[in-house]
Amino acid sequence: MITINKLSYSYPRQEPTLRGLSLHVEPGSIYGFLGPNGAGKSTTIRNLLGLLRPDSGTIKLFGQELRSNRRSCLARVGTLIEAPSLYPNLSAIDNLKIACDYRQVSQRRIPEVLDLVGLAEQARKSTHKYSMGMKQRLGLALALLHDPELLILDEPTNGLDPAGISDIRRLLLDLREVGKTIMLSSHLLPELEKTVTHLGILHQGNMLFEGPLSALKEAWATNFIVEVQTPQASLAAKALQLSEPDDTDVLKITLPGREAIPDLIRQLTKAGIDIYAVRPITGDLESHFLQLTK
Amino acid sequence: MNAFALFRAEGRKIKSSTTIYLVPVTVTLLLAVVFLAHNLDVHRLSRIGENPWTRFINTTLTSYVMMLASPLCVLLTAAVFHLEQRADAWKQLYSLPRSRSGILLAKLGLLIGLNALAVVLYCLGVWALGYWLGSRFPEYEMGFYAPNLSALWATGSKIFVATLGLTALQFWLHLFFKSIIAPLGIGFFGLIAGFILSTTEVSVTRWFPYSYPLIVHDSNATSAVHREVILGGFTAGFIGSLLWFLACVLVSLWWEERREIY
Repeated sequence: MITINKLSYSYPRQEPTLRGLSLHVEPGSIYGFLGPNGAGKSTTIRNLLGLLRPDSGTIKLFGQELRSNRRSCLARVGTLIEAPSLYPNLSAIDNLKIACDYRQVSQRRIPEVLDLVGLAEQARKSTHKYSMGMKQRLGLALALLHDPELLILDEPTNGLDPAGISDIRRLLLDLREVGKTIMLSSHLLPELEKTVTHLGILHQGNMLFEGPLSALKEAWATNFIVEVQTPQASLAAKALQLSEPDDTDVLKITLPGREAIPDLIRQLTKAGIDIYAVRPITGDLESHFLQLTK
Repeated sequence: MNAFALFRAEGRKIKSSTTIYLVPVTVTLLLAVVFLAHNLDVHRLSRIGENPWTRFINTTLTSYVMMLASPLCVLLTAAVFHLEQRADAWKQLYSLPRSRSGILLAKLGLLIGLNALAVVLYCLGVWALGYWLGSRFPEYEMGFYAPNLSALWATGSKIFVATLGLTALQFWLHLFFKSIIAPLGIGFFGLIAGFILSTTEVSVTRWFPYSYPLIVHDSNATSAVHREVILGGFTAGFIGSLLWFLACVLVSLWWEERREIY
């Protein structure tokens, strides 16, 4: 659905933001595009939409070269780039009517998309009275108006409360059910973890990981580290046949996976070690991600 | 159909904004000032053996040229672009499956349409105001003569064409600066420079887009340059404005097609 090959881009008089980035989004997937602020996520998305011209590399959407097929490609894409672009003097309906004119879509779609994002009741209200969350939902409605095959959403949950985030998550999962492909950027891994099927981790313009979420979990599960808090750290190390710990009351242990924790506790208890706490320190995806992008 | 849809989208954007009120409010205010002046008989409309409508139309259109035509172009362009800036809409607009030129030409079309609307409303207002004055002051003898409507529309059209160059230049300035203050400031500085130039005999007045609308119609023109422009035909009159218009539109489209949206 999206294929980026060796994409490089530099802003004027700055270090390269993207350095030979390659990326592949499978049809029907929810692709999480993850990276800390300044990693190059928005720059990649702007290149994908033809807003920026790459220094080198190729971008293909739906198997077609973007540069030479810009209009036909973009006709099949719905976008939400950072904060939605709304005319504050107009209501949600009027904003959607403008989008209908631009995209030559029937206005009959307007009530459908407003229902979909839960804004039907506030549709006639001027958008300058909308909360950040309502604006974000209207931005999604604008992206969905022409029933696109591919949705590219840059930080769509920005400014939403937990209930709003949960609604958007459910909506994205529903959209995937009906065959839409979604590319979703965020700097928050826990946010993406609950929604995406595939993940691309970007750091300083380079792709650190790309693949199914399950593959990432497997890769990271091989190095599952837990921190055991105990007043007898030396004894515990001896019982587990480990080297003497640096700390007197904390012992760091590498396990094959999360499933090995109960065994470890049983072994330490049997050796008469008092355990105050057992904490995974690099076992969850977020801490792996933080380590990777440090 | 496609072009009409783009134009309709531009039209929808000005709904419930100050842009939509700018034309009727400024035209009405100027007509009120004109009415007040004629109430005080500033222009001494009644002269024996002379059609008072001729003087009335001449003086009222001079007021439009002097006070409203150019500032309105500057204000309208700023107001239309302000809507896009406030919505941070460029990134969304340029990621649509539409050509950037098409979107921009629709916006320019709206601006030109609003300028034309201002001239038409003012001409209609002048015509209605003339009859009202005639009924209020029978001594003006406006009821005894027919209004010279063809002269009114011909001069109105001339004023409209004269503002095209200025409109296109302001249009490009807004695209270049992507802000409101800088083009507005340049616009008003240009208006002041244009006004100063229009009081001189230098021929550059007719090529400077901010001064040209000021000299295209003047009921009391004494300068040779003014008279040449007022009495001259197409080449003496409109070529400067149309050349500016064409050049600025082409530069705007070229500029935007290659611009990157950060």
